[in-house]
Amino acid sequence: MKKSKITGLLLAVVAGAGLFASCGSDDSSSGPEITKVWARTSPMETSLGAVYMSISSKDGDELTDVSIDPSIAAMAQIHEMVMATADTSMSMTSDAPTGEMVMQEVDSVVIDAGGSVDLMPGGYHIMLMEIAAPLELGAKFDVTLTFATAGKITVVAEVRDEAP
Amino acid sequence: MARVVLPIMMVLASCGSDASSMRGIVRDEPLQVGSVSLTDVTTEGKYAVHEDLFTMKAEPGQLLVMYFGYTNCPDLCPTTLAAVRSATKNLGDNGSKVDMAMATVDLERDTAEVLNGYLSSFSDRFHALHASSQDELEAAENAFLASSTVTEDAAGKIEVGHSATAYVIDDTGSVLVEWPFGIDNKAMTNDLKILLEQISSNN
Repeated sequence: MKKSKITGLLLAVVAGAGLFASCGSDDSSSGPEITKVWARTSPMETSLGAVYMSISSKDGDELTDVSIDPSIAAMAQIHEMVMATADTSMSMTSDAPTGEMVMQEVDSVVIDAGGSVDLMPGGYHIMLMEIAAPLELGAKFDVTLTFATAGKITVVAEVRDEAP
Repeated sequence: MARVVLPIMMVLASCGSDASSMRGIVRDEPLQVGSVSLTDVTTEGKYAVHEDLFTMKAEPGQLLVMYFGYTNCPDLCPTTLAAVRSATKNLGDNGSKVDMAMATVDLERDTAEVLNGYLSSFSDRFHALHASSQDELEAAENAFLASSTVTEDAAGKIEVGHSATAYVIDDTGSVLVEWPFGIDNKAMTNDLKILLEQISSNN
Protein backbone atom coordinates (compact mmCIF):
# COMPACT_ATOMS: atom_id res chain seq x y z
CA MET A 1 0.00 0.00 0.00
CA LYS A 2 2.72 2.37 1.05
CA LYS A 3 4.76 1.39 -1.96
CA SER A 4 2.08 2.24 -4.45
CA LYS A 5 1.56 5.63 -2.82
CA ILE A 6 5.22 6.44 -3.31
CA THR A 7 5.09 5.27 -6.89
CA GLY A 8 2.08 7.45 -7.48
CA LEU A 9 3.85 10.42 -5.98
CA LEU A 10 6.89 9.79 -8.11
CA LEU A 11 4.76 9.56 -11.22
CA ALA A 12 3.17 12.87 -10.35
CA VAL A 13 6.57 14.47 -9.89
CA VAL A 14 7.86 13.07 -13.16
CA ALA A 15 4.71 14.23 -14.96
CA GLY A 16 5.11 17.64 -13.40
CA ALA A 17 8.72 17.82 -14.48
CA GLY A 18 7.66 16.88 -17.97
CA LEU A 19 5.09 19.67 -17.93
CA PHE A 20 7.65 22.21 -16.80
CA ALA A 21 10.10 21.06 -19.41
CA SER A 22 7.59 21.48 -22.18
CA CYS A 23 6.58 24.93 -20.86
CA GLY A 24 10.20 25.97 -20.84
CA SER A 25 10.86 24.93 -24.37
CA ASP A 26 7.71 26.68 -25.56
CA ASP A 27 8.92 29.98 -24.20
CA SER A 28 12.02 30.15 -26.34
CA SER A 29 12.75 27.19 -28.56
CA SER A 30 16.38 28.14 -28.84
CA GLY A 31 18.30 25.24 -27.35
CA PRO A 32 21.31 24.05 -29.30
CA GLU A 33 20.50 22.34 -32.56
CA ILE A 34 22.65 19.29 -33.18
CA THR A 35 22.93 17.75 -36.61
CA LYS A 36 25.14 15.41 -38.64
CA VAL A 37 26.06 13.27 -35.66
CA TRP A 38 28.34 10.44 -36.74
CA ALA A 39 31.12 8.21 -35.45
CA ARG A 40 33.83 6.70 -37.58
CA THR A 41 34.08 2.96 -38.07
CA SER A 42 36.92 1.92 -35.80
CA PRO A 43 39.85 0.13 -37.43
CA MET A 44 40.81 -3.26 -36.01
CA GLU A 45 43.24 -3.28 -33.07
CA THR A 46 42.29 0.17 -31.84
CA SER A 47 40.48 0.92 -28.61
CA LEU A 48 39.59 4.46 -29.62
CA GLY A 49 36.72 6.01 -31.49
CA ALA A 50 35.68 9.51 -32.50
CA VAL A 51 32.26 11.15 -32.73
CA TYR A 52 31.59 14.25 -34.81
CA MET A 53 28.62 16.60 -35.14
CA SER A 54 27.52 20.11 -35.93
CA ILE A 55 26.13 22.26 -33.10
CA SER A 56 24.37 25.56 -33.64
CA SER A 57 22.69 27.79 -31.09
CA LYS A 58 20.47 30.84 -31.45
CA ASP A 59 21.22 32.17 -28.00
CA GLY A 60 24.68 30.74 -27.63
CA ASP A 61 25.68 27.94 -25.26
CA GLU A 62 28.65 25.95 -24.10
CA LEU A 63 29.24 22.23 -24.42
CA THR A 64 30.80 21.35 -21.09
CA ASP A 65 30.67 17.58 -20.85
CA VAL A 66 30.01 14.44 -22.86
CA SER A 67 29.11 10.97 -21.71
CA ILE A 68 28.51 7.60 -23.25
CA ASP A 69 26.94 4.33 -22.19
CA PRO A 70 29.63 1.96 -20.86
CA SER A 71 28.32 -0.71 -23.23
CA ILE A 72 29.82 1.41 -26.04
CA ALA A 73 32.96 2.90 -24.47
CA ALA A 74 34.47 3.31 -21.02
CA MET A 75 34.95 7.04 -21.36
CA ALA A 76 34.25 10.02 -23.60
CA GLN A 77 36.12 13.33 -23.67
CA ILE A 78 36.11 16.48 -25.77
CA HIS A 79 39.36 16.75 -27.71
CA GLU A 80 40.83 19.16 -30.16
CA MET A 81 43.57 18.72 -32.73
CA VAL A 82 45.98 21.61 -32.74
CA MET A 83 49.13 22.46 -34.58
CA ALA A 84 52.08 22.18 -32.20
CA THR A 85 54.03 25.39 -32.01
CA ALA A 86 57.10 26.47 -30.08
CA ASP A 87 55.00 28.59 -27.73
CA THR A 88 52.34 25.99 -27.05
CA SER A 89 51.11 26.02 -23.50
CA MET A 90 51.31 22.24 -23.40
CA SER A 91 54.58 21.51 -21.70
CA MET A 92 54.54 17.91 -22.85
CA THR A 93 54.63 18.82 -26.49
CA SER A 94 56.69 21.96 -26.24
CA ASP A 95 59.52 20.36 -28.16
CA ALA A 96 57.27 19.17 -30.97
CA PRO A 97 58.36 20.96 -34.14
CA THR A 98 55.90 23.24 -35.83
CA GLY A 99 53.86 21.34 -38.38
CA GLU A 100 53.07 18.44 -36.11
CA MET A 101 49.48 17.96 -35.06
CA VAL A 102 48.81 17.06 -31.45
CA MET A 103 45.62 16.20 -29.63
CA GLN A 104 44.55 17.88 -26.42
CA GLU A 105 41.57 17.55 -24.12
CA VAL A 106 39.49 20.71 -23.83
CA ASP A 107 37.18 21.76 -20.99
CA SER A 108 34.40 23.03 -23.18
CA VAL A 109 33.36 24.19 -26.62
CA VAL A 110 31.67 27.58 -26.82
CA ILE A 111 28.94 28.12 -29.40
CA ASP A 112 28.42 31.83 -30.00
CA ALA A 113 24.90 33.23 -30.19
CA GLY A 114 23.62 32.71 -33.71
CA GLY A 115 26.72 30.70 -34.52
CA SER A 116 27.66 27.09 -34.99
CA VAL A 117 30.63 24.86 -34.31
CA ASP A 118 31.49 21.78 -36.31
CA LEU A 119 33.12 18.90 -34.50
CA MET A 120 34.99 17.48 -37.48
CA PRO A 121 38.19 15.60 -38.35
CA GLY A 122 41.22 17.79 -37.73
CA GLY A 123 39.33 20.02 -35.29
CA TYR A 124 37.16 19.08 -32.32
CA HIS A 125 35.99 15.54 -31.75
CA ILE A 126 34.48 13.53 -28.96
CA MET A 127 37.00 10.83 -28.28
CA LEU A 128 35.73 7.47 -27.12
CA MET A 129 38.19 5.51 -25.04
CA GLU A 130 38.26 1.76 -24.47
CA ILE A 131 35.45 1.00 -26.86
CA ALA A 132 33.66 -2.19 -25.83
CA ALA A 133 33.50 -3.52 -29.39
CA PRO A 134 34.52 -2.24 -32.84
CA LEU A 135 32.21 0.49 -34.16
CA GLU A 136 30.57 -1.24 -37.12
CA LEU A 137 29.23 0.52 -40.19
CA GLY A 138 25.54 1.45 -39.78
CA ALA A 139 25.41 0.91 -36.00
CA LYS A 140 23.82 3.63 -33.88
CA PHE A 141 24.38 4.66 -30.29
CA ASP A 142 23.47 7.48 -27.90
CA VAL A 143 25.84 10.25 -26.88
CA THR A 144 24.79 12.56 -24.05
CA LEU A 145 25.95 16.15 -24.27
CA THR A 146 25.82 18.54 -21.34
CA PHE A 147 25.42 22.22 -22.10
CA ALA A 148 25.92 25.06 -19.63
CA THR A 149 22.47 26.51 -20.38
CA ALA A 150 20.43 23.82 -22.09
CA GLY A 151 21.52 20.99 -19.77
CA LYS A 152 21.70 17.41 -20.99
CA ILE A 153 20.79 16.54 -24.57
CA THR A 154 21.07 13.01 -25.90
CA VAL A 155 21.76 12.55 -29.59
CA VAL A 156 22.15 9.45 -31.75
CA ALA A 157 25.43 8.87 -33.58
CA GLU A 158 25.49 6.75 -36.69
CA VAL A 159 28.68 4.83 -37.50
CA ARG A 160 29.98 5.75 -40.95
CA ASP A 161 33.23 5.48 -42.90
CA GLU A 162 33.31 9.18 -43.66
CA ALA A 163 31.43 12.39 -42.85
CA PRO A 164 27.81 12.60 -44.06
CA MET B 1 36.48 36.99 -49.07
CA ALA B 2 34.57 34.97 -51.65
CA ARG B 3 34.96 37.75 -54.20
CA VAL B 4 38.71 37.62 -53.88
CA VAL B 5 39.06 33.87 -53.92
CA LEU B 6 36.69 33.07 -56.76
CA PRO B 7 38.53 34.75 -59.65
CA ILE B 8 41.78 33.08 -58.57
CA MET B 9 40.14 29.68 -58.52
CA MET B 10 38.69 30.30 -61.99
CA VAL B 11 42.09 31.23 -63.34
CA LEU B 12 43.61 28.08 -61.91
CA ALA B 13 40.79 25.93 -63.24
CA SER B 14 41.05 27.40 -66.72
CA CYS B 15 44.75 26.57 -67.02
CA GLY B 16 43.62 23.07 -67.87
CA SER B 17 46.91 21.19 -67.90
CA ASP B 18 47.06 18.02 -65.84
CA ALA B 19 49.43 19.41 -63.26
CA SER B 20 47.24 22.40 -62.47
CA SER B 21 44.18 20.25 -61.84
CA MET B 22 45.97 18.25 -59.17
CA ARG B 23 44.36 18.90 -55.81
CA GLY B 24 47.29 18.04 -53.55
CA ILE B 25 50.66 19.78 -53.36
CA VAL B 26 52.94 19.21 -56.35
CA ARG B 27 56.52 20.39 -55.83
CA ASP B 28 58.59 21.77 -58.69
CA GLU B 29 61.35 19.54 -57.37
CA PRO B 30 59.62 16.37 -56.13
CA LEU B 31 60.95 14.75 -52.96
CA GLN B 32 63.06 11.71 -53.84
CA VAL B 33 62.53 8.90 -51.36
CA GLY B 34 63.58 5.87 -53.43
CA SER B 35 66.67 5.34 -51.31
CA VAL B 36 64.73 5.39 -48.03
CA SER B 37 63.97 2.07 -46.43
CA LEU B 38 62.18 0.99 -43.28
CA THR B 39 61.80 -2.34 -41.53
CA ASP B 40 58.87 -4.20 -43.03
CA VAL B 41 56.69 -6.10 -40.54
CA THR B 42 53.81 -6.95 -42.88
CA THR B 43 52.24 -10.32 -42.07
CA GLU B 44 48.88 -9.98 -43.80
CA GLY B 45 47.51 -9.18 -47.24
CA LYS B 46 49.19 -9.18 -50.63
CA TYR B 47 52.63 -8.25 -49.31
CA ALA B 48 52.86 -10.66 -46.38
CA VAL B 49 55.97 -12.19 -47.96
CA HIS B 50 58.74 -9.63 -48.25
CA GLU B 51 62.34 -8.59 -47.69
CA ASP B 52 63.44 -7.34 -44.26
CA LEU B 53 63.45 -3.73 -45.45
CA PHE B 54 60.83 -2.00 -47.57
CA THR B 55 62.14 0.61 -49.98
CA MET B 56 59.93 3.60 -50.79
CA LYS B 57 58.99 2.76 -54.36
CA ALA B 58 55.70 1.69 -55.87
CA GLU B 59 55.33 -1.55 -57.81
CA PRO B 60 56.31 -1.07 -61.48
CA GLY B 61 53.77 1.16 -63.21
CA GLN B 62 51.80 1.67 -60.00
CA LEU B 63 51.45 4.11 -57.12
CA LEU B 64 52.13 3.90 -53.41
CA VAL B 65 50.41 6.06 -50.78
CA MET B 66 52.71 6.44 -47.79
CA TYR B 67 51.69 7.79 -44.36
CA PHE B 68 53.42 8.27 -41.02
CA GLY B 69 50.89 7.55 -38.28
CA TYR B 70 50.03 5.41 -35.26
CA THR B 71 47.16 3.17 -34.32
CA ASN B 72 46.14 4.96 -31.11
CA CYS B 73 45.22 7.90 -33.31
CA PRO B 74 41.49 8.55 -33.15
CA ASP B 75 41.14 11.41 -35.59
CA LEU B 76 43.74 12.24 -38.25
CA CYS B 77 45.07 8.79 -39.17
CA PRO B 78 41.76 6.98 -39.68
CA THR B 79 40.33 10.03 -41.45
CA THR B 80 43.17 10.04 -43.97
CA LEU B 81 43.40 6.27 -44.36
CA ALA B 82 39.61 5.96 -44.79
CA ALA B 83 39.75 8.65 -47.48
CA VAL B 84 42.54 6.76 -49.26
CA ARG B 85 40.47 3.59 -49.03
CA SER B 86 37.47 5.37 -50.57
CA ALA B 87 39.64 6.91 -53.28
CA THR B 88 41.04 3.55 -54.34
CA LYS B 89 37.50 2.14 -54.40
CA ASN B 90 36.42 5.09 -56.55
CA LEU B 91 39.08 4.12 -59.09
CA GLY B 92 37.34 0.81 -59.80
CA ASP B 93 39.70 -1.71 -61.44
CA ASN B 94 42.54 0.81 -61.31
CA GLY B 95 42.28 0.76 -57.51
CA SER B 96 44.47 -2.35 -57.63
CA LYS B 97 47.29 -0.13 -58.89
CA VAL B 98 47.42 1.82 -55.64
CA ASP B 99 49.15 0.34 -52.60
CA MET B 100 49.25 1.74 -49.09
CA ALA B 101 52.12 1.95 -46.61
CA MET B 102 52.10 3.22 -43.06
CA ALA B 103 55.16 3.69 -40.91
CA THR B 104 54.25 3.87 -37.26
CA VAL B 105 55.69 6.77 -35.28
CA ASP B 106 54.69 5.05 -32.02
CA LEU B 107 57.41 2.41 -31.95
CA GLU B 108 56.71 1.22 -28.43
CA ARG B 109 52.98 0.63 -28.55
CA ASP B 110 52.47 -0.33 -32.18
CA THR B 111 53.57 -3.93 -32.36
CA ALA B 112 53.65 -5.72 -35.71
CA GLU B 113 50.43 -7.51 -34.82
CA VAL B 114 48.60 -4.30 -33.95
CA LEU B 115 49.88 -2.53 -37.05
CA ASN B 116 48.83 -5.35 -39.38
CA GLY B 117 45.37 -5.60 -37.88
CA TYR B 118 44.92 -1.86 -38.12
CA LEU B 119 46.07 -1.53 -41.74
CA SER B 120 44.06 -4.51 -42.91
CA SER B 121 40.97 -2.43 -42.05
CA PHE B 122 41.94 -0.08 -44.85
CA SER B 123 43.52 -2.19 -47.58
CA ASP B 124 44.67 -5.69 -48.44
CA ARG B 125 47.58 -4.18 -50.37
CA PHE B 126 49.57 -2.60 -47.55
CA HIS B 127 53.09 -2.44 -46.19
CA ALA B 128 53.24 -2.27 -42.38
CA LEU B 129 56.45 -0.47 -41.50
CA HIS B 130 58.00 -0.39 -38.04
CA ALA B 131 61.47 1.14 -37.76
CA SER B 132 63.84 -0.94 -35.67
CA SER B 133 65.14 2.22 -34.00
CA GLN B 134 64.25 5.87 -33.51
CA ASP B 135 67.19 6.78 -35.76
CA GLU B 136 65.84 4.64 -38.59
CA LEU B 137 62.44 6.30 -38.25
CA GLU B 138 63.90 9.80 -38.17
CA ALA B 139 66.06 9.18 -41.23
CA ALA B 140 62.94 8.14 -43.14
CA GLU B 141 60.93 11.09 -41.81
CA ASN B 142 63.68 13.52 -42.82
CA ALA B 143 63.53 12.34 -46.41
CA PHE B 144 59.80 13.14 -46.46
CA LEU B 145 60.27 16.38 -44.49
CA ALA B 146 58.02 14.74 -41.89
CA SER B 147 58.44 14.59 -38.12
CA SER B 148 56.91 13.11 -35.02
CA THR B 149 57.25 13.39 -31.27
CA VAL B 150 56.20 10.85 -28.66
CA THR B 151 56.21 12.04 -25.07
CA GLU B 152 55.04 10.51 -21.83
CA ASP B 153 53.97 12.53 -18.83
CA ALA B 154 54.52 11.65 -15.17
CA ALA B 155 51.17 9.87 -15.06
CA GLY B 156 52.21 7.65 -17.94
CA LYS B 157 49.91 9.29 -20.46
CA ILE B 158 51.43 9.11 -23.92
CA GLU B 159 51.11 12.06 -26.24
CA VAL B 160 51.94 11.74 -29.94
CA GLY B 161 52.50 14.66 -32.29
CA HIS B 162 52.99 13.98 -35.97
CA SER B 163 52.93 15.64 -39.32
CA ALA B 164 49.83 14.35 -41.07
CA THR B 165 50.62 14.43 -44.76
CA ALA B 166 50.08 11.48 -47.10
CA TYR B 167 52.59 11.03 -49.95
CA VAL B 168 51.94 9.49 -53.37
CA ILE B 169 55.09 7.80 -54.67
CA ASP B 170 55.84 6.31 -58.10
CA ASP B 171 57.99 3.31 -59.01
CA THR B 172 61.17 5.41 -59.02
CA GLY B 173 60.65 6.77 -55.51
CA SER B 174 59.58 10.22 -56.65
CA VAL B 175 56.84 11.86 -54.54
CA LEU B 176 54.37 12.98 -57.20
CA VAL B 177 51.88 14.67 -54.89
CA GLU B 178 51.55 15.39 -51.18
CA TRP B 179 48.16 15.43 -49.50
CA PRO B 180 48.08 17.60 -46.39
CA PHE B 181 45.48 16.61 -43.81
CA GLY B 182 41.94 17.52 -44.84
CA ILE B 183 42.00 16.51 -48.49
CA ASP B 184 38.91 14.40 -49.09
CA ASN B 185 38.54 11.19 -51.04
CA LYS B 186 37.20 12.96 -54.15
CA ALA B 187 40.30 15.11 -54.40
CA MET B 188 42.48 12.04 -53.83
CA THR B 189 40.59 10.17 -56.55
CA ASN B 190 41.13 13.11 -58.89
CA ASP B 191 44.88 13.12 -58.28
CA LEU B 192 45.29 9.34 -58.50
CA LYS B 193 43.35 9.24 -61.79
CA ILE B 194 45.57 11.91 -63.32
CA LEU B 195 48.77 10.22 -62.12
CA LEU B 196 47.70 6.76 -63.31
CA GLU B 197 46.83 8.21 -66.73
CA GLN B 198 50.24 9.87 -66.90
CA ILE B 199 51.93 6.59 -66.00
CA SER B 200 50.01 4.57 -68.57
CA SER B 201 50.61 7.15 -71.32
CA ASN B 202 54.34 7.13 -70.55
CA ASN B 203 54.57 3.37 -70.91
